[in-house]
Amino acid sequence: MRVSKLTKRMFPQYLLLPALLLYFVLFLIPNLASFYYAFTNWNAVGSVVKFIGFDNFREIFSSASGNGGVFRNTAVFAIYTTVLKIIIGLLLALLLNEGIRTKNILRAIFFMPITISVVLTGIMFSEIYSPDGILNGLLKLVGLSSWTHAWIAEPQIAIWSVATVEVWRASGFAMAIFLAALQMVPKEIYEATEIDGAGSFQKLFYVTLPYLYQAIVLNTLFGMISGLKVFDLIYVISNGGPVRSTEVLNVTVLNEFSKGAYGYSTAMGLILFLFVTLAYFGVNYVFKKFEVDVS
Amino acid sequence: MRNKKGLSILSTAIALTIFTGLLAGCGSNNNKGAAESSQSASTASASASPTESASPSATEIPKQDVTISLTAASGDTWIRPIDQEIIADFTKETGIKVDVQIAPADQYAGVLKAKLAAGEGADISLIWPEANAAQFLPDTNFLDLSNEPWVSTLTDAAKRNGTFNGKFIGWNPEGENAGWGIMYNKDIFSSLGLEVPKTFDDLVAVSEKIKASGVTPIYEPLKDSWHSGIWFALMGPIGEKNNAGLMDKLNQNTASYADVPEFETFLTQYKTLYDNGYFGKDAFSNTWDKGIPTMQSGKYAMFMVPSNMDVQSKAQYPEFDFAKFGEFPTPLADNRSLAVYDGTIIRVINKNSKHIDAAKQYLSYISRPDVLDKYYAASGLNPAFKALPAIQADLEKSLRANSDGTVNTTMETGIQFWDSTAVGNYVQELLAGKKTPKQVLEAIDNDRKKIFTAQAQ
Amino acid sequence: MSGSRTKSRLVVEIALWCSTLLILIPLYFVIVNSLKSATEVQMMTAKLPAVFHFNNYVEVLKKANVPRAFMNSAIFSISSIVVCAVLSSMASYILVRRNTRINGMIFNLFLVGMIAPMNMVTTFKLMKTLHLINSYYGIILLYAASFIPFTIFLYNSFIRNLPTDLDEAGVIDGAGPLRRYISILFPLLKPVTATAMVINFVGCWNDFVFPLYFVTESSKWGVILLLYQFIGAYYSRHDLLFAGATMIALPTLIVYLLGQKYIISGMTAGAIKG
Repeated sequence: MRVSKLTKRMFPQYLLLPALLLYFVLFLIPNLASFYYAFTNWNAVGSVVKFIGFDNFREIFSSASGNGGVFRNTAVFAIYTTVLKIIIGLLLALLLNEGIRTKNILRAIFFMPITISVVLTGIMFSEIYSPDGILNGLLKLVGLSSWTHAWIAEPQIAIWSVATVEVWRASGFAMAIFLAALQMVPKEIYEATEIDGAGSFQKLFYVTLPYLYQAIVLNTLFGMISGLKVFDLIYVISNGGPVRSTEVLNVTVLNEFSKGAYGYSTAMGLILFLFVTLAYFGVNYVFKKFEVDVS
Repeated sequence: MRNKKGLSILSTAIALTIFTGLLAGCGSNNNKGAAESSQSASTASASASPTESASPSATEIPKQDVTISLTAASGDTWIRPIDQEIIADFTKETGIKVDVQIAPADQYAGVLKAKLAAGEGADISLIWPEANAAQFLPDTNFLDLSNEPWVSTLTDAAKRNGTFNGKFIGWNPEGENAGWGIMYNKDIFSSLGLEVPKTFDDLVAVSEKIKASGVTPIYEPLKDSWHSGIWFALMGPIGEKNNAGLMDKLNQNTASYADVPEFETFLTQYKTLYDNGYFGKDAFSNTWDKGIPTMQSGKYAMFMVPSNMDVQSKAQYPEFDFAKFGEFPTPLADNRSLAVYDGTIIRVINKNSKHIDAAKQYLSYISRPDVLDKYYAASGLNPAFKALPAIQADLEKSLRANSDGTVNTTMETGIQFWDSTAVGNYVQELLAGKKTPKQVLEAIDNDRKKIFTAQAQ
Repeated sequence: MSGSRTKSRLVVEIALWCSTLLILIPLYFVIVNSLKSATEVQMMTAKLPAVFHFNNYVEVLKKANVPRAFMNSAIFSISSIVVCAVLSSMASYILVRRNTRINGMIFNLFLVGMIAPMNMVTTFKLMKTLHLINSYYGIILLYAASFIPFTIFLYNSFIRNLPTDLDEAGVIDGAGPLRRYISILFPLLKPVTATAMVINFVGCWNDFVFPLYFVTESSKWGVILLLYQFIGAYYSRHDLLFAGATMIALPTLIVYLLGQKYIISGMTAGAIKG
């Protein structure tokens, strides 16, 4: 695309430079350069770094490493949290957009969890989920004793329990993005449907949703990226256990890093990077296909 | 209106903080410059003084304006409150400040390795002793302290504890202890008419009776997977007893875990305990932290703990009556030996430190008789110094009495690159039926093979 | 008709208030445990404490370095979010408005930053080469650099929705690009800026990894590492841990409440229509 002189003058490239420079030097260079080490045997105990080709990757994907579950857990976590965050966030945004007197307080409360440190959230939920914790206590109270579980100690359900904490934590953020987008829906269009007597559901579907398209894309991308890269929440609550049933890629990356296996750890990181990139373009592709034009 | 107010508060706060930030930034830079220059002067004088006079008396040493950094992990066995008090005394006497930096326990090893690799380690670090120090490359990173005068005042065990590859590198406060064993509730045992188990079959029989009485036999904190690793580490002595020279061979990478039948037996039996329900149904939710309070409730009869648990935990659990508990060696693979510790976590000096003399001064200060008296009075530990009487707490006496008297080093400190968490994770995969005992051993061997190959190059 | 609508709205409102319990109960749990005695807290129940130990908070505050650590965290967080917001919004402005091939590629580069994992060892080496270890500037810049991708991403999607006639109006007035950005665009971006700032503030305030690696004096550590100093020095005092954690969470809440209005107020109604 050619740029007109006016555009050049109006939007000079130098406004872009400070951010680019800072980011390029302090973030991009060291972290991309590290990918070279994915192809080496770099280890804290060895003095020589040797190029070993794809050996690290072969080992990561070997059946003996038992990493299959790690990939599965990462995918489960990312998809489950993204879907639920969007559903809950959208629901909250639609309900809190207007008409409710206490909407400001309610918005504040629903957004609040993301402002609490993950470490604290983790400690909190470890206790809530424990066999004699609040959750089971509540279930027993309402007569659902058979539903009680050791929520983060049973390998089959642990990853879902941990992922639910992320939904608890970040649905409010999805809500905020949806709310911001809802402010863009022209009042007249909204009112027009009301006069027509369109039912709430139809109104939501035909009128509001197209305007929320950008916000849905944004939330899906944020959800997938942060979901695939999740680390601290799992580290605090379950540290990947029991028996690796909640171990996700970034937990393996850090565990190997702590052992000093820098080459192997970076290789794992590179795989994660490729996954997230893939997910990003996948999501973009899908949304492009269904793009709705609102303008 | 309120909007505006909020915004102005926010922007004022921002402006203020940036301003103070800049000030603090400049200020501390200046301070640092000053500290460094004065420090280099004082190190010059400090390093000059020993050559001038062979016996510098404490009063003559000029006060120094140096700060040395000391890193440790968070946790009760790393830096105790009494350590902080003694550091304050040390600063008062010498002028040397000690900046104690405590990192989250699960990040500690990773951060320390990365910093050492970049040549930016702290002046003094706390690390695991003996062969297990290998992960931090002691030969490259830590100072040989063999010629420090206080080293000769240490007990033999403490000297072993601080030695890596023939060089003495680390100070540690704690004398030998009998290591970990199974602590049992004497009341529950006597009311059921049970005897201390000597073999694995005994343990099963005892557990079965306890379970039948409605008490869960063993509190096993499987959420902290390192605890499963410790169970395994305790099998070192029985392995060594039946396979002479095993520990040395493992350290030279000429033996593998998969070849040791006792280890396979241990794994099978550990799984039996779990499968029979002796760990209770909440084992995977149980944490180490809640162990002692839970034992107090009497819902569990046994708990695998270190034999100095009573000394270590007195301050934390003042209401817990350790007199009601005894301890015996873990009888898996029919083991009756003790897997002893020669000491505890050691304090080492970074070879690249700019303040080596000050760091050495700190270690010799905390080895001085009057300081040691203060230290042990407060901590109650078994001393690592010859001049002081050795202490054996009740739990340890009980553990020793129940053993067959043979001892050997635990694999936790005796084997290079031993990693209780990694081993524990494999052991737990066994419990969940994801690995066979053989596969667990092979996985451990495989991890070790990688490290040894990396080291060889 | 309108009567039933108010009624249904009331039902919705009540339902929403009930569901806030999902958020408030866990918070109650932390606060209640921060007020228990050291022994009582060990079992971590949801029960009210036998005696309220407000003293836990006093004890935390009395520890040396607490004000210092709060100050450090404030310096790191506030400086880095401001730097990040200013640089990112400027960059986004150009990226969106001057939609060239090169700028498309630059945007993709920023995107990489949202995706790529951080490698502490290589970053450490770079920081050392640039003499940024143990300096406030170094940490602030590093935080800002790592927040930029997300922030640009957020800005881009909002600036895209801003009508271009606003820029043109500025040009007619004869304002230079920087002035136009400061006086016309930046004020319009309040909601996004507030959102980005709150999220980045929370991320920065609660991070302990950068100081842990890149600061070599504990006097320059922030609040989260202080909490760990604490656990180390005073055994497993969970009572103090919870009290400390609650105190540390307060500033993020305050920042959120200050920014809250902007976050959800959306685009300023007067500026954009449709």
